Amino acid sequence: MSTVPTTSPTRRPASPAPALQRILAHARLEARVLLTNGEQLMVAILMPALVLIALRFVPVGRLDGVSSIDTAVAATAATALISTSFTSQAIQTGFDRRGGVLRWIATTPLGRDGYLAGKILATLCVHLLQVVVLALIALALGWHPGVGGLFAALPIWLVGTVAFGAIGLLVAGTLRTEAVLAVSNVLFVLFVALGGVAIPTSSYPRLLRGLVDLLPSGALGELLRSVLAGGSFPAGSLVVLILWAVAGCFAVARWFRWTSA
Amino acid sequence: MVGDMNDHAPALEIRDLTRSFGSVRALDGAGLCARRGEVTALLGPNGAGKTTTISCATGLLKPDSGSVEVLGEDPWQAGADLRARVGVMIQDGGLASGATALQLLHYGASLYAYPLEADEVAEHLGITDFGGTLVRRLSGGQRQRLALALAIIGRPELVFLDEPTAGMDPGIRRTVRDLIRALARTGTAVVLTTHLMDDVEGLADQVVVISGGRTVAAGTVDEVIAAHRAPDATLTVTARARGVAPDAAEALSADLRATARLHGVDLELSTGGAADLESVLLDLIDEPDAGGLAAATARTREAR
Repeated sequence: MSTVPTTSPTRRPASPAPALQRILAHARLEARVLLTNGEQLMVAILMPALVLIALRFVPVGRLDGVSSIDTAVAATAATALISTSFTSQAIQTGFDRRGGVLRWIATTPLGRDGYLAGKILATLCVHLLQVVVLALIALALGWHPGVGGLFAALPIWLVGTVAFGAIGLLVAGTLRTEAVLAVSNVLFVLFVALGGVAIPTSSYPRLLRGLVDLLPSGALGELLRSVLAGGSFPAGSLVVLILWAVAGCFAVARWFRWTSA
Repeated sequence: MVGDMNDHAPALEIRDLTRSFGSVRALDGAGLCARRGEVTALLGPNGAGKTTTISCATGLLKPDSGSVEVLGEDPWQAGADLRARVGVMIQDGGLASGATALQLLHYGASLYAYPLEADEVAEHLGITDFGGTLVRRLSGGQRQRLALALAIIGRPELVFLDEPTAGMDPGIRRTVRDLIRALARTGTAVVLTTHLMDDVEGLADQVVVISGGRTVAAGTVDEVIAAHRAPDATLTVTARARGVAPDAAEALSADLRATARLHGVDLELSTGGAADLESVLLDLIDEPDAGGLAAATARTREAR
């Protein structure tokens, strides 16, 4: 071997690719890993689809005077958002942390900020795929969406993604990997089944209702039900979800550890 | 900044570094200097402070006190520009397990403005053979090769290699050694940590020994040995006679024994075959082309 032109006078200086290119490259890798992993696909697509079909036909979580498919779609949208933003991200980031991936990435031009930006972008891409697949299933089950409701759901979707993404990163960046796996799966089930997603908080006993309303899942569920299934807009739930998003981001900035040591 | 092949200016300077984890003092005044165009081996037992030193040098840890300069800058404050000039290989780690080897290598290349050609690096290090395999299914040696490729893909001016040949078969090990020598020859500062002393003796221009968080020795291999040899210590003289015809071996042995008796020392002689084990292994297996990457990267440079 004669030359490896890493610093020879004729070569160009080592320099980073433009920031956007780095972030897009990382988002592509993350999305590809998510979408080619069977377990991740099950969490992102299959489980929300099952929730949609179950709530369409099983008399659970319905509201008086509202079509069952509308309440099912609202609950499914919240389930899909939580599964991808929270559960999938927590598990994948937890394993990346244990495997030293975060440590290595912090030494590359991508850096920690680029890693997080790429991860958020990848999550949004997976969300888009979820929305398309689940909307097609919902349409087949008799869903007739209103354009106004869909537009109103967009900012809720973004705030919910930030809130649950931050909680997912907090779990991934503070617990041991084995605990991340257990905690993220248990919390997912609790959020969906008991946290105001599958069942409207109005159906809970009065004592529990106040508590569930303060959960991010309860706030997300109520907000999506109001815009996708009709009903008065719960401004209090929006405040709760925004507070979870802000507090989650602060907590991640304060306590997230990039190494598992 | 573009270095010069003959430029031996310091690329990494660490002075009086201290770092504690709770009540444990991992570094207690460590220092080292790694120059462009040289291979610097960082040695020491497990827990000596090598990893903490490298972590401070790569901006992963903030030192409690002391100074670290990487290519003239503070790595703790490093932005993407400085990180692009420094390559880091983390031993058996740092690789996204859900991607394939080639996906990861192309991803790594896309983080740099002027990377080496990923496919050619893969070919040279034998990564192409398992390029479509998920990282989680790779062997330790395969992961090492991929981590090494990712460390050099951005054409770094300073590269940290943690146990670069651990778990590799003899053919790949030779390729990796050649690659490290070539990196240094073209002006890159190479800092490697290893427990393999033949890697150190075969590669290192400078050796820095850390123990108990302090630098206890530094210099060339010969300087370190000479400085720490007890004045009255006995020495071992080792010689290997190659190309000895079988019928001449007995006479040569007798002559050597006679010479040894003349000097009043014991002599242990052994007669081996025509080749050592490593050479035989290399003959038996397909070894990657040691010059492939150089030619490939030269073509890349011309194309640009």
